[in-house]
Amino acid sequence: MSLKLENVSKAFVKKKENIVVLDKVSYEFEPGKFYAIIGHSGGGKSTLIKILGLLLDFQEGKYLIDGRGVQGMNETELALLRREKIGFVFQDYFLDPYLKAYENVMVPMVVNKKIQGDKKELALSILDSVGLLNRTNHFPKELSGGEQQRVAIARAMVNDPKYILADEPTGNLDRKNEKIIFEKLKELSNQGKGIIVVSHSMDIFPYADVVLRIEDGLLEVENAKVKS
Amino acid sequence: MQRLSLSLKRTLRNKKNYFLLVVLMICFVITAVSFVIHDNITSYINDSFYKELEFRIVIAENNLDAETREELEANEHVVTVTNRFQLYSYVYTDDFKDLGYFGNLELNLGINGIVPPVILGENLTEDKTGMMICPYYFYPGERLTYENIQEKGALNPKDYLNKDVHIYYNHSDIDENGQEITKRFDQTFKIIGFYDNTSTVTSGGACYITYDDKQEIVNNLGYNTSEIMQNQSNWIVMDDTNSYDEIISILQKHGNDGFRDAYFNENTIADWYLTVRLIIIVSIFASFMIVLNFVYKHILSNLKDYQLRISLGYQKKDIVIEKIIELAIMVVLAIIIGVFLFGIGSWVAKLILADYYGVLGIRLYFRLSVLALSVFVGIILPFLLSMFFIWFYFGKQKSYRFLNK
Repeated sequence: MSLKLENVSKAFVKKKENIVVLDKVSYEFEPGKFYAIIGHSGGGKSTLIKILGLLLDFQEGKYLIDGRGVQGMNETELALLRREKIGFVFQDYFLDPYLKAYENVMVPMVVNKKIQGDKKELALSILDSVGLLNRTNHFPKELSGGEQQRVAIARAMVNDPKYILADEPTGNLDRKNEKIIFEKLKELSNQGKGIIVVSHSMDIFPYADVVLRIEDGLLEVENAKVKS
Repeated sequence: MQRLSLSLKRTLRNKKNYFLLVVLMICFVITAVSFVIHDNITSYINDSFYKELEFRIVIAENNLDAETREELEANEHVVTVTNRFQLYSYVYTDDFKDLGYFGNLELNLGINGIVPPVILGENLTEDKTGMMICPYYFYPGERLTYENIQEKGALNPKDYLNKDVHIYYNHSDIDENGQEITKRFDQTFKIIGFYDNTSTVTSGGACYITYDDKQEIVNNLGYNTSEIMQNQSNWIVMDDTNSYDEIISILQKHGNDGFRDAYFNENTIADWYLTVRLIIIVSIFASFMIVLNFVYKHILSNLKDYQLRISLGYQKKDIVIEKIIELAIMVVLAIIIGVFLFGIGSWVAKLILADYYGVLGIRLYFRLSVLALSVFVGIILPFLLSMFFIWFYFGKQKSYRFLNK
């Protein structure tokens, strides 16, 4: 399943001025690869990843998921895609402060009827996979930034999506935790998931199979490894 | 179930919700207390005005001969009322015209609270000369309400409206030879309504029983007694067709010192009504504002939360359902706490007022309907309105695009 952008453009109107954020961006993302999107602030990185995550609309071009254009899709179809194909990780974690770690991981399961069996067990096993089995009953405020982000990754993984999109996932973390997060994402990439990470950090390079740079709304491939 | 479970945890663990609950409970208590006071004022007016008014379809006979009076008193057919309650009856009949009265015989027995009233009845016996005597007492401090009369097994005077009743009375006069004669009147009347004089009777209210209709009075007496009454003492026409509000309005218009409990005067009650209604409006408005502010601040404005949920595959309806479940949990909590507070509050208030009844003369009535109304208006309605706003807010926009901000 690929995520394919064809001449996608996005502009915002600010004070009656049309600001182009993405200018005819074309690229095809594939599963099993780790993509790093870098660039200056305001260059369009977050806009791009939100469009990929179906969290933002765009004005021109096409966005094809598995060959199907998303623009003609209705609300239900879009929600299904977000639910089953894409996991999203935010810079600020967006954990529910009133739910424990495992309960936060269970939140996506509320609307996913395809998940069978003991949902709590599933949440615990996913938390275990991100190394947080001993922190399952902790509230977000009781967790470090890195742990919170790992809970957020676990939450993004719970529906077993084909892609995990992360918008500055290590933006609020120190280098140690950054490394843990990148390693976890890399591990997921190695398991066949497509990982798309927007980051300011140059430390992402060793993990990325493809580094994409966005400058002034234009996307270009900066570096691509040949994956064995 | 999982959705409910997570919503329950989320709601119960959020301290902001407790703050909302506390503030909402304050508003609810104010609303509920106001409703209770309002209801009690209404009850008081019902009891003290309207129903006493009904009771006053009593012919109080004061010119009974000594023998009859003794007989009545021997049979305990005497009503003792509080010294602030006196009964008057005005019987209009052309018989009095001959006696030189203008048709008005004042039968004032309200002497220092000892009144032997007669409730009119159909089953009149010869030896009682057409009178049915109240077989009960009223004591000072006791409210003279229809319920009290009923409890004591008295008749409901209202039942005799539009029915023929007999009134017996004696009247002493001097004949042509200078001899005192006692004339016995035995008249058949029809109660067609009640006249209430509230401003000119010095103490106590009054009621007027007439027979047939006013036109007949005019025909019999040759003049319009109603007009005279209006001119003389601001008689007010009231009958069973008057609504409660009309009666209250009439009473308030003309003043009704004799018709109320000593501890509540009309103006005070009118002020209370106004004050209580204002408090109710303010507290309801405050409840609305609190809930709406909360909903707007913590639910509608929480775009971060929506973005997350949309990213997790929620649809618009899923978010709406989740928010409504959370609000519903709050409603249930608020109702439980509200009913508990109401119960405790009413129990304590009742105890206090029962202890001081002799001093304050106030009893409190707590009705389930008032509680239900308070809960609905003070808690459920603001939340329903909030749910409507949530629905409206989400209904306006498509989930895919409303995150474009």
